[in-house]
Amino acid sequence: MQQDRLLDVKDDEPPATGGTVIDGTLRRAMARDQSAFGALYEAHVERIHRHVRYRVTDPNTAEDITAQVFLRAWQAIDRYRPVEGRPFLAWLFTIANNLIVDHHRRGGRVTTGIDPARHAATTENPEEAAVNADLQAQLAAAIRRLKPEHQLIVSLRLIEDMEYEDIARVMNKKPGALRVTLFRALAALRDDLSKRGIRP
Amino acid sequence: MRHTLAQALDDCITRIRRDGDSIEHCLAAHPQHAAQLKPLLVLAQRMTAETAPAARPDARQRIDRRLDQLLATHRAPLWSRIFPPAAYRLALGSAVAMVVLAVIAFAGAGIAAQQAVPGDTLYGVRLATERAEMAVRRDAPLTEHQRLSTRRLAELRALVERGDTVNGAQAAKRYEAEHQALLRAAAAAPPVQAEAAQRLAAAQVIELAALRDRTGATAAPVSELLARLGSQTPPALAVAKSGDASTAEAARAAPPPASSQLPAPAGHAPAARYAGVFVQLLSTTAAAERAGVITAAQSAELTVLLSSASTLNIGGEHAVVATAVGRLGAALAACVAGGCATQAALTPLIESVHASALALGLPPPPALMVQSSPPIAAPRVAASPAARPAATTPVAAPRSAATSAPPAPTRVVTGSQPVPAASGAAAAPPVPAAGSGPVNVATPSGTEAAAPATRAATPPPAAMAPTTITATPTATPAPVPSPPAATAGPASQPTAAR
Repeated sequence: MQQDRLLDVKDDEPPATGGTVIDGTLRRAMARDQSAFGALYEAHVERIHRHVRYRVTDPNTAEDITAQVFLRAWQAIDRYRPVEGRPFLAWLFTIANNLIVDHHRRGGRVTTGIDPARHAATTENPEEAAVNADLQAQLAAAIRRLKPEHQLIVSLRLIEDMEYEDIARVMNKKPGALRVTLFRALAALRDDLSKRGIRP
Repeated sequence: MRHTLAQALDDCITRIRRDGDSIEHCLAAHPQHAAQLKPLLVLAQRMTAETAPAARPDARQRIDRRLDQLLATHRAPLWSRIFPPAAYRLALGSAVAMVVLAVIAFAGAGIAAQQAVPGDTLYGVRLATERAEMAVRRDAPLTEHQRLSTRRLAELRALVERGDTVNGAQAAKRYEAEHQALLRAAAAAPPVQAEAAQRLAAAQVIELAALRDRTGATAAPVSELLARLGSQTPPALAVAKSGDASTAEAARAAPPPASSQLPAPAGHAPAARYAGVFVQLLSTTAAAERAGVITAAQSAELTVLLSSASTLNIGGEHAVVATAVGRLGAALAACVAGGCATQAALTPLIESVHASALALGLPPPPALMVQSSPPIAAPRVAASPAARPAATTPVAAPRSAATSAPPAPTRVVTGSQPVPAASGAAAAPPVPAAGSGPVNVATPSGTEAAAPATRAATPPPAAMAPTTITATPTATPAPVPSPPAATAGPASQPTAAR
């Protein structure tokens, strides 16, 4: 289970807001401390980029959206209101989701798959690696064909391994409803792949 | 059912990922859903961080650069960069409080500034307030200059009356600038508005002259101002723009102004010419007061000036004429009391004082009595008979009427005050004031300038002292208008008795 690392590091300073435990880095970033925000960026940029990659095909667009997520975060960091138990990462995912939705709304949906060759290098058997890479690419493409809500729950719950409580704050749904949403998302993904003759 | 399936799916995902359980083992725990759950669990197992689409090798550097570019082009709002959130809220609260206090303080200062004069700390506030008023009101320029010139004059008056000659000089310059701006605006305005503005400017000059005469030693800024204004205006004003001794002498020596120099009461005579009559009247009066004697030339000049001033009917100048009438009455009294050798020349002036009072609706000088005396052979206005206004009664009255009249004393009593005995004059029934001379001061158009019945009577000037004057029996048998009720006597009293 991955945790929001920054929330695990506590300062000796008192909490900035009543009853909410905020780590010193986040508190300094909220005071527009650039070095503190840089630390948050280092901690979360890979996960955000991965999340975006799952939902946006074009690498340039994914990188641009990732950068946009942190730009928006920096612009609004002083308005960020920490909530007990909600990781800062959930807020970043919320921003990322909004940007991705906007991107697709503007006609940026791209159905081209991810370059399978990049996945081949991680496996020992070249033939198996090629099959896996192709399957992963087909899977990623299928995920991008899901409706945004299903994309988000798949990404946050399965790829980012977030708890339902955290996902609930990002998606503004109750955990029980999110479980049903995840089930439907996986069923839709299965149906999409089945229609294309792909068996995971 | 769907909810149960969702719970079973989530239970299996959790067990597989956290506990390392296998798909088959988990499905064994949910045999009723196994067929539906298995393909979904296989899919879920393939979707992890490790199996995510790989990023380009230089993706991180690209993202870093892109973020740098975005931060460079999308700066945070200035307020956000200056104030951290907590500090911003504190600053915002403080700013609101300061604005409220400033508004309260400014309102108070604004009220106080309305009374400020040059030299006061708040005078700058007053000027700023005026500019703000002008911006808000957007009145015509002429209206604005009328308002502002009146204010500048009030400031000058306040400073001169308190003896502040330093700030008074500054105020005089400010008034001069506003006076000129007013006349310039009047020149560009339609005739009706232009005339009103010119009359206002004239009234202000008249008030300046009165202020100069009233304040004496501290009136230097006003004297200098009048000199400057006089240099910019026609000769009629320049003649009597100063009240100093040398000018007074010059005024005494100067011949009385010709009738052609006087402004026409109707039409659109320049403001300076209107003002010139009144300023000249006051200045000549002041010169006579200082000299303690009224020369024949002065008497003739004052008579013309007073008659003209009375018939100009400039709104707002009644007070000036009333002041002149009062002061002239006192000067006449002093002249006579001091053995004025030229009293014979005073009669027209006395008559003009009476006529002016009547024309302006003022009560006649309360105790000015003209008592008959042995005839004087000298002509009534020996110095300048031509100086009489053309429309007044003939100057060259037949002397025979006077000389043939019995020497019985005739007095003209105005008002109800008892007449002090003088020169052994016996009390006699009052006769109409008109009997003392021509009181019908005619306007150039030939109509009598009788006072409108509706005019409110103005209290007599305080300077007017009971005076007994021995009048020359040269009164002309001019037509006698109906006298005011206050002076009405028995109709049977013949004017020829004089």
